[in-house]
Amino acid sequence: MNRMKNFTAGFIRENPVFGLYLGICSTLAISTSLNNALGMGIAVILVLIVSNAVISLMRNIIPDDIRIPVYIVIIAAIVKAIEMLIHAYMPSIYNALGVFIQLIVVNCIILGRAEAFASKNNVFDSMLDGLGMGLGYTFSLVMISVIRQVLGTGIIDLTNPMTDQLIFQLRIIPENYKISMFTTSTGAFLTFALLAAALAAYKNSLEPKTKKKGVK
Amino acid sequence: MKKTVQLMLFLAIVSAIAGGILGYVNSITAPVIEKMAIAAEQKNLELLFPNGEFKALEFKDETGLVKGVYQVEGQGYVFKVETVGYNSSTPIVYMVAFSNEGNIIGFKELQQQETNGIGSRVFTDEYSQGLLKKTNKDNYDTLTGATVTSTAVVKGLNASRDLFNTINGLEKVETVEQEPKEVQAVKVLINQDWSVYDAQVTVEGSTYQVNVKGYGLLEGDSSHFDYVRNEFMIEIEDQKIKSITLVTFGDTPNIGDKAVDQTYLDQFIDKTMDDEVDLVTGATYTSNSVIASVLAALQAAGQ
Repeated sequence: MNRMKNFTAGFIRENPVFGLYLGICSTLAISTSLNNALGMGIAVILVLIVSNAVISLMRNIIPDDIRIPVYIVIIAAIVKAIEMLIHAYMPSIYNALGVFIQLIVVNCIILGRAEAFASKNNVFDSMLDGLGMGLGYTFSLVMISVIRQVLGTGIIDLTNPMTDQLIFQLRIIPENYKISMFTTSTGAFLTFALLAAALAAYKNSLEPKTKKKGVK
Repeated sequence: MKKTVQLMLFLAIVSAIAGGILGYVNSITAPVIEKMAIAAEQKNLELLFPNGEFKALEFKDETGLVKGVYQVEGQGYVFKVETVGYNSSTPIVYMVAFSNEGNIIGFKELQQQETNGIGSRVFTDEYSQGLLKKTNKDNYDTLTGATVTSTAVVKGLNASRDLFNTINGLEKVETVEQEPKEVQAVKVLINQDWSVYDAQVTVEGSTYQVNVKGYGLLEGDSSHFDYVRNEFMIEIEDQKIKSITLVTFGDTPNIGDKAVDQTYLDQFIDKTMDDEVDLVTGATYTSNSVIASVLAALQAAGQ
């Protein structure tokens, strides 16, 4: 039960993007289409699981004084390896995301989970935490991306990153009524702010009434 | 002190292991990435060398114009060039091929949106025919009236030539700026078989109303323009053209209309069937349709 709670934490309660405000920079930059969001999400999930696992395995031998540099070396190596794999096997994702794959190294979610969770828990729980947090990040990215892509271009589509085949494409808003502002950074900030506010409101509503009274 | 050394050692070992893993992943992915770099260009490369075996080469180009160098097994080298001409928003992308002996054996545009009929002349046969006579020891011609575009293209050609010479260990060729050259006008005999243009003549005294198929009706994609027949009013006196004027223009605006310009039409004055006239480069079909009309009118007058 406790494991389940840890796993689901990333979605609402401790959602890394809307709840903890981690990794915003890349989120705002790449959330222009569903394809990018899923590609980035998968990359982050992989990095999180592997880095959490490695750091958890090494948690007893890493000297406390230099734990942060060691984490960074480990994370950087994992990110670079995953970047090379994406470059080789998912070229369209690699081209679309560009420098943001490398920038996962400095994405606070990864280092944050390494420090906050993986360094204190066993391998299995750490990997589960990585998966949960990664899915939470992906879920947030997909939400922002879908809203931005639909409002900004009127179309929602998905392609297979391995073969570049279009899986589906759907026009939701007619060409003449799209709001191209949403494809720009302005749209990214707006969408992000509104979603973060919505999540905050939802979390507030969940809190027990008595506690609120106590605050008053 | 001892502790510091221990910490350093630990970090060094972690880094070394990480480096080793990266090296291993790189050895797996590098060949795949290289193969893919060619796959992306394969189609374009095959325009120059059908069924060629291509290999991407590592290269260092100081000008930054050359974007790719490919060796074609047993045949030569292809250079992919991206250069900015007159249209600053869309760069010109082309490929130029050198044979192993150093002759230019191919020139193919992949992307360009230079001004139609001006800069675009660099990508017509007239320019590339001249280029195909050049080698790795030459400088390349620019074109009058399309100086900006042709200079941009020539810069890329020079960079490709220099790279070709570097790869093959040959002496560097000094780049000398060339005076822009006029594309040689192509002369065409009036009296030949223009039957595909299907010129229809209506005679009224000494004036001949001719309507004729142009580019649009013969080759055009009618989803973009409403193509119709071109129509000319031709006056004939003593078996010679006295005047020719345009009545209806039915070909592509901004391309074909260079061949129905009055200055072009006036060259037909005093011409007979056996004379030669200029063709308008880049508007070949439309100028042929003019010549076909003139011939049809002269033939009708001769009957």
